[in-house]
Amino acid sequence: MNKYMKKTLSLIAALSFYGLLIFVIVMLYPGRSYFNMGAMFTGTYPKFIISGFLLTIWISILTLIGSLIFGFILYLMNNSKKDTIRYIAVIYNETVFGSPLIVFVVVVYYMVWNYLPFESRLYGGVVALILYMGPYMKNLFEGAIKTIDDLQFQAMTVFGFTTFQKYRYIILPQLLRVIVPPLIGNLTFIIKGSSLLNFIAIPELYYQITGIQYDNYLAVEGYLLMFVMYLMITIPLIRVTKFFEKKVASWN
Amino acid sequence: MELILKNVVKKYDNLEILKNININIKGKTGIAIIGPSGAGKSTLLRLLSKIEEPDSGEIFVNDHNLENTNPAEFYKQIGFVFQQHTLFPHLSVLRNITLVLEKVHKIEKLEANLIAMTLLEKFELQDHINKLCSQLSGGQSQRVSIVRSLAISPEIMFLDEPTSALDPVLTQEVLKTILQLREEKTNFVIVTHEILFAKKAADFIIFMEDGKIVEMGDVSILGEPQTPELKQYLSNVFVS
Repeated sequence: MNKYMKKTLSLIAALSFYGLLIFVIVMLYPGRSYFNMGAMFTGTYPKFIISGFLLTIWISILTLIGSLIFGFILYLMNNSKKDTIRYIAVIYNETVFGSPLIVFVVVVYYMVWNYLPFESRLYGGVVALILYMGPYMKNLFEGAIKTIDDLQFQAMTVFGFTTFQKYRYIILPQLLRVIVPPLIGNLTFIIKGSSLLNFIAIPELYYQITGIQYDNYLAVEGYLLMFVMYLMITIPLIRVTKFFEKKVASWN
Repeated sequence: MELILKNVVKKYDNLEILKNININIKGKTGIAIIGPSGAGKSTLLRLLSKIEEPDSGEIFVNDHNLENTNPAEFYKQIGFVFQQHTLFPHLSVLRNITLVLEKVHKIEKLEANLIAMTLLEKFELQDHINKLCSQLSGGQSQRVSIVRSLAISPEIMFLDEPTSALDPVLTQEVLKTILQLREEKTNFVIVTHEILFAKKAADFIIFMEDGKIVEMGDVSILGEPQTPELKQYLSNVFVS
């Protein structure tokens, strides 16, 4: 038996372990002697599930873009020569790192967004997520810039590169490669975090599936489906991260 | 090359690193700056290449008065090699060289490639053109760094202890490359601890100690030092 086959068999064994675990949990669920996943896909349910799934992706994309911009601003503030500006950023970062996402979302939405003259519930939630993810993105920029050592900056200068050329040909290409793995890590964090927006009644995936559960009483099937749908987005992303990490490691 | 320094002083936080340096050198091709650690050798090199500015005094390098030379323009005419190699890790050896030629010196891609290939071959690095610096040894990386600075045909090459981060075998490999510079008639100023090498490669020696130039002159001063400081330094170097 070659090494490749051995690995495949081990993978199948590991997967069956989890399969068995899920089977046991489902069968032991109080008062259950049936399992009806098919019932999750009848009537108008698929429509709700798909719209929730798409909304989750849409929220995540908006948050990713917004928090990258906001995080870069925080990065600049954090490196400001003016103490006041730096302290504003530092206090903000620590507050965010110290608070649970759910508390942060509820506070931002009900105590800030509600007083602003905007109607949209969705954008209120997205803004809350962006504000929360900003410091994480700030950390990401900080880590990435540090990977380019000082001598390289000096060398670029002594070769006579202009500032634009330095960024375009040397700094950004290097940054992009080191930034991608943690960036995808943050994206999965956003996707997972977006499920908390159901607390402010935004119809994303979690919200839609719980809605269906209240309607058909299929709690177990609903939760399993929820699991699968989130993993469908996050696991491919995690695999991509691993791929990029290997690439980066090869030229360090 | 021509180097003239008049009353040059450099301070870091009130600490005088260079104390009233005066130099007047004409018509030399290889200058070696030697001396114990902390003597101000690297600082002097950084002033000569305009990476740093003096606190007072005047510096002339060839026909540039460094005080009113545009740094970006001056940098285009010199090469600088640091203690460690400074290859860009995301680019191949060849691209490391051609990027500078194409973007800074506006040389056509084909011609840039030709210049780079010719030099790499001359310095026996032709087997590595497509490698990243992570795939090279320390000595090879440093040699590519030297070739990269040489590719722009600089008026002067400045080398700041280019072998200090390398083991003895790799050091010899890099020193050979620098000797080759001499054969190419490239002007260079090198800060080094390798006295035997300085003897072979340079035609002018500057000995520094404690921020001052204690002795300078033709390479013969290494055989017949005039000052007790240089005598002491040389005997320390060779005993150990």
